[in-house]
Amino acid sequence: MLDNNMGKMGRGFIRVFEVVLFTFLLFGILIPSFFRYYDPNDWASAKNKMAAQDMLFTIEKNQTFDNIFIPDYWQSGTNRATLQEKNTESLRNNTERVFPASYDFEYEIKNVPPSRISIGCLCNESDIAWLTSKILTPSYTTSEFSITPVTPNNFSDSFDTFVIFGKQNLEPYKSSITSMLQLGKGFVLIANLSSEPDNMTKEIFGINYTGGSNANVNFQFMDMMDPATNGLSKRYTENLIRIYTLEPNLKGKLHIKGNIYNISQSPDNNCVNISSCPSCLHENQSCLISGVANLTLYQIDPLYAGWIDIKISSVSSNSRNYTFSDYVPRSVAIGKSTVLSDGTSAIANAALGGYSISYETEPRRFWIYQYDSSQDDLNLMLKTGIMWSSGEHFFLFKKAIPDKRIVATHFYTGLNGNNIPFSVSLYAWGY
Amino acid sequence: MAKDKKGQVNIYFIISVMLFISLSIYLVYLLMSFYPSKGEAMRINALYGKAYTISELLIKDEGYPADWNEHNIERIGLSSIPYELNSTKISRFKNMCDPYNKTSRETIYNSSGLLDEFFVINIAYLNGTSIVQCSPSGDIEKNSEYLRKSTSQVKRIATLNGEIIEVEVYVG
Repeated sequence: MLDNNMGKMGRGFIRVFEVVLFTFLLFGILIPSFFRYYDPNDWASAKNKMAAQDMLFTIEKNQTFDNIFIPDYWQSGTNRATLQEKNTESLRNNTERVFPASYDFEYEIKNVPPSRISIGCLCNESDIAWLTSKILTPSYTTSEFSITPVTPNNFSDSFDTFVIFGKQNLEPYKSSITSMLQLGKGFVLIANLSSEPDNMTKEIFGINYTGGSNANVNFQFMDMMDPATNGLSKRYTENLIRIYTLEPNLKGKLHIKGNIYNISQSPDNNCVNISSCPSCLHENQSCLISGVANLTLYQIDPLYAGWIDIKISSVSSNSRNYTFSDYVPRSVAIGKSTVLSDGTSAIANAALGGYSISYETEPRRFWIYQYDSSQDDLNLMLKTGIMWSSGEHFFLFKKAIPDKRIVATHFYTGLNGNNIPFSVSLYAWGY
Repeated sequence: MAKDKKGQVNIYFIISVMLFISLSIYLVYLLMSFYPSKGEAMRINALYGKAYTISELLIKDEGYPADWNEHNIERIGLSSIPYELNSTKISRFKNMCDPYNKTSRETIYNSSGLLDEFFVINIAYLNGTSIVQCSPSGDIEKNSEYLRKSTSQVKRIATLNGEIIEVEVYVG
């Protein structure tokens, strides 16, 4: 009886021993979860963030992005793409030295067109040939365009923007178009809307169809405070009209506002004569043609003989307030997306927003009527619209950025003093 | 018989208590090791703060007076405008950097707001080519191990004559 009692008591103590042991084991296993040490003064992370911020300030002082996006290739005599690549590589090497060896990094650029824009074109071969020769020529920041014919059934996210020629019924392709818009892909429509377009076309390009007759009118950018109009008008004056002067006399023509101006190169003096300009223009010299435009000779191309590049701006006090002139259809009412107008109807629209919750993937859409394609000032407007629609958002080295990273962002006032602000975010990650 | 057992402690109970105490001690030790020494952490943070302040002065401030020299300097500063270092000021700073000259040493300490901390400034191009290596506290070679282990180091990036450079400040 007594032994039995002792035995029961012993079993009880063994249970206590087991419980204590088990509790400690459990507690030991869970310790890391209970006590997560966090140092509010994480200098390792702070130092890397500081380095990223310093780097962005420093490359502003060094004008690194000016050299990458608008390289001085006519001075160095090197192909523009090669020079851009070389300058980008230099930035990569410098950034590598700033961060610890185990760190990787990436630059995100917003509000600057990429060096290469990939275009899917819903058009025929002759449209592509015209685009390639007259519109998609090297320009402000973008040195290379690639254009591929597409059908609405095979839109691909490998393109930056899509160009559609002529009025088409886009309604049947709503889902494929919407999926591209949600990815931030741009759309450009070049079409006269002589009859009411389908709802999808109206929705994408912000078109408010009213119908109306054609007329010869002057038209210009409206509401410069509007972000899309402001952006397009600034880029318009920075983009380049590329003119070929035929050898052996190196003569060509400039078509603006319905006028034709004779152009001839003077290789001996390294300048260009433009009819109605009082003197032979050297690079960066301007000529004001009264009531028409202010022309600036950007460059005589040192690499491709016969080619010259001209910038065009308004004769008025606001250089962006350029006035176009053409025979235009007046079938679309002025709306919140209108960028070019004669005062009563919309001549071109630029639509922003919708389709995406993120600013980064906000699709840009541009519509312009099917203008007289010999007009260089209107060709420049289409070129500007296509470049703008590309989204102007890209990653310099195309690396995957992990969630756990540091980031510093810096706002720059522009490239080569063009006053088109852009932002750069420098991401860094590692251990 | 049962009453006789009342005052005695069972061997299992003793083992359990011993186990409890030893594991408790181990646990406390383990918990303590999770946290760094607060005192040391505060010291390091204060040093980082000083290193950061000096680095800010070096790359963003022109110093006082703006055209300072080793005789009239009141506050150190190597830039003309923020992030653009001035080569003349760097040369003057380099000339002031003599750890064995008591006057120079005091000038640097006073102009940078330090008292008697160990203190090194390295300015170099990103490829490693040194521009200035200044150690007012003494011979940098002799202190290299101390530099590595005990100091707070802040590295800043700036530009000098169009080249990207790094400015390292060690305070210990």
